[in-house]
Amino acid sequence: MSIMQLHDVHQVFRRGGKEVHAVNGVSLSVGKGETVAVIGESGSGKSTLGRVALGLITPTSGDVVFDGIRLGSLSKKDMRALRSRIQVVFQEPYESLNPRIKVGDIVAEPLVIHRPEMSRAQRRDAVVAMLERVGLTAEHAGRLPRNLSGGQQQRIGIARAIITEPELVVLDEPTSSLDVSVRARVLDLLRDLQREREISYVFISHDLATVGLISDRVAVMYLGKVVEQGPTHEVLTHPRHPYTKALLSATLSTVVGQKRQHVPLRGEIPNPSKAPTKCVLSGRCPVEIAECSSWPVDLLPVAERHDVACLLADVGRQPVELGGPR
Amino acid sequence: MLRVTGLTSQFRGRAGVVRAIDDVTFEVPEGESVGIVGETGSGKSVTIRSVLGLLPSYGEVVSGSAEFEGTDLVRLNRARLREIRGARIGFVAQNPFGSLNPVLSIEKQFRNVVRAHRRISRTDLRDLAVERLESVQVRGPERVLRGYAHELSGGMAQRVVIALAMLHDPSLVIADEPTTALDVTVQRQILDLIDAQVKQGRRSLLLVTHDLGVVAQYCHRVVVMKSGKVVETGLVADVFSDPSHDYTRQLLAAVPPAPWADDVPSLSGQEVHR
Amino acid sequence: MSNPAGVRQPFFAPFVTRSARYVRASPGIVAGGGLLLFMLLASFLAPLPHDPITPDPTAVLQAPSAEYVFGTDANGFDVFSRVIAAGRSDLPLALMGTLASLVIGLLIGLPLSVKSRWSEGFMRALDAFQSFPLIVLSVTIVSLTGNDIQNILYAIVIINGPRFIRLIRGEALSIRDGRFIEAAIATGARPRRVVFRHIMPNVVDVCLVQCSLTTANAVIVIAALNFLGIGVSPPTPTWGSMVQVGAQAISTGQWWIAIWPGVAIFLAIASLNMLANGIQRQVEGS
Repeated sequence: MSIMQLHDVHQVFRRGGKEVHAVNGVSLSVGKGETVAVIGESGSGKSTLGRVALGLITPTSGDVVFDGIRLGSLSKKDMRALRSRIQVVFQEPYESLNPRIKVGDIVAEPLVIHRPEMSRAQRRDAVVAMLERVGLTAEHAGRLPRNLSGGQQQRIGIARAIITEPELVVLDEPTSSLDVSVRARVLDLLRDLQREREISYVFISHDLATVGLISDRVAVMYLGKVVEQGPTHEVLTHPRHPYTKALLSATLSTVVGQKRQHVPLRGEIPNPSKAPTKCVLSGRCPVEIAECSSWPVDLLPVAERHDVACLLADVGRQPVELGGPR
Repeated sequence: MLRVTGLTSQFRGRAGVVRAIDDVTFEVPEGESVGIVGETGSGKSVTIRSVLGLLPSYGEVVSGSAEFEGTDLVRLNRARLREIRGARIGFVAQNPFGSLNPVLSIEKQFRNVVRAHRRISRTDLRDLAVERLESVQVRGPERVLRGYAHELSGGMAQRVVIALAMLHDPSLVIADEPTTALDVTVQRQILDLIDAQVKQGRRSLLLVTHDLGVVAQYCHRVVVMKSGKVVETGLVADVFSDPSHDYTRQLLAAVPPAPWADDVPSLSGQEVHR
Repeated sequence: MSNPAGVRQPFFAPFVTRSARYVRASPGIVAGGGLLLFMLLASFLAPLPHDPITPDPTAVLQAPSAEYVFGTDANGFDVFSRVIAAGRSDLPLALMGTLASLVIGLLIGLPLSVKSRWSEGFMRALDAFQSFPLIVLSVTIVSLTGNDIQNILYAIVIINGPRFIRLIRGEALSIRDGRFIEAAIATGARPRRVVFRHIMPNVVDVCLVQCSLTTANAVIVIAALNFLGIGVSPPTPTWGSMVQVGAQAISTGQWWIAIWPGVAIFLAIASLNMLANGIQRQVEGS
């Protein structure tokens, strides 16, 4: 039973006369209580996709359906009302909190907006309960965001997101600006909350290790397209797309000597100024063949619920044989 | 090579004096790579900034020494320190665009760095710059030299910074989170590049990072810092497999386990260990 | 909890709390604010040696002496009493003009921070308006509508309102790019709530600085209008009209009539600039 579906979403921005194709035909579905990770580097379109899912931007084409409701068909007023059910936690914990508003008021705000029937006392109780739930105390309510640590600030962001009991929360790199030890505890909190409340997460990240911990399924994005998607364990242990492999090989283990061979991609991510006319990795791919630059490559199933957009992925269902190291 | 002993630095602020690092002691042996790891506020950056004389105006070294090739950097005057910093110690900062001058062409920046220490003709400089850019795998070095920093991608800019840092063949390279501002797939290229440059020139490396994985894969020794103090030092192999301090243990435990680390097929389908 | 969740704050609450916070130990604020407050209190409370609006025909054009500290003018008015008493009208008027400009700046500038064709159009129109020599415009308006003191208020607002609008809109535009604004929208906040609850408290700092500068400017505008004889009825003392009266006497050697109100204008402006400077530093420090 899925709570959110994205159907063939395209997002084109115009900046100073130039087009930026941030998202190029992404379809994704998020089940109830499920965590779907969207992985990618900067410029992959993952954050844009998150904003589309939140209804913060209207896609150039394609549909976003939440619990049977097409977001595009809603009036502004209905969309605002729906926001109590779809929430967000951003990467930068400090920047996402108004520096002039006390923590208690920040956490109370969604209630002020969506539960006007609550009395002030009820609201205060709810805020205190929520602060305690995310590992803070009633004492923190009177402070300003700058008087909290990064981890505490992110807990405030989480408290604000879940106080209206949303069914879906988009987590846009919620832990990447946090220190490792803090990161682990925030992830634990997110997982516990999900278990308690059956929240669905869209977890946007560039960090495969974190994604491996928290997500059920992953979609790997590159240049506005999903190049590989499937169950997390499957994708991380049997990656089929050269880009996924490159990402994996770039993640360093803390076990000394356990350095995977580097899958080198040439150059860096190009600017997404045109809609793709060939495989998105063409030009950087270490195993490219002539056909790769002839037409856009679409996602095709290679295994149970595991889709890959690579011409070489399906050959004999074998991992891609890449050329030797440079 | 570099011996830091009892280094203590403080910042003066509105709230009074804050001790940023306290009695920091470690050593970078010749030809070895040492990683300083710690979280935000651990003092890892302050440590290298104290060593290099790059503390902000409200910071100062209170006591201790940083002996490099027989001279104490902490007690040097600014001019002498600048000389050593350019010629004998190469510095790679976190944000390459902060290290490059936005209004000077890349070639002018090469010229400035070279001329700060010796005289060189225009054509010799051009040849040297091209050669150095090629050694850090910058494609089209002539074009890059004519251009400006903002025309470069993050990875390219960091390569240029590395080339500039290596220009005088320093015996010690200090890198402060050199890949934090870069994309994942580029990070590893840059780390491999620094690693290769250090090994080729038989240089020593002092690498500051928050990423334990980087230390595990690129360093011989590690200095673990917390709240301005060194909590543990030793060989990476020893410290990571059997940490003696609780904090180190916590840090290692906090890094997500890698269930896929062993069974990821490598490029050629077999496990590759190095 | 010191502040109960979701209490609706009065419109000016953030300004009051911010102002209070700044007063703490900043030399510019203490010196500038102190001097200004002293001048204001003195104008209302200080015992004056002579009645500022009743001339003494027996003492005309007297040089400064023990009896008449700043001397007297051609009509026999005591300059000292009048310089002090002029603060009663000049300073509150400048402050009120500034306050009105601030309110207009907030009410127009904040909503204009939405990027749209309409708001861009409005700003272009404002550009055109500001390209007029506004002091001339306000002189014209005031002299056409009558010699009334409240017209001076309009003049100040005509000159300073557009500056506040521009400043507040610019500041609000940059704040609007902030992540916490996106978070507020994602929470479901209505545009009005975004503007007044989330953006406004963050423009307070620049507004406070601008307010002191504007008050200084208003002191000059008032003096200039009064100098031209606009907005004053003769016996009432104002610095501008006193300078005007004194200016006629300078050529015949009675320098004291024009100098003392000039010094008062200078002190008022200097204190306000010190205040602005002090607030600016405090803002940068926090």
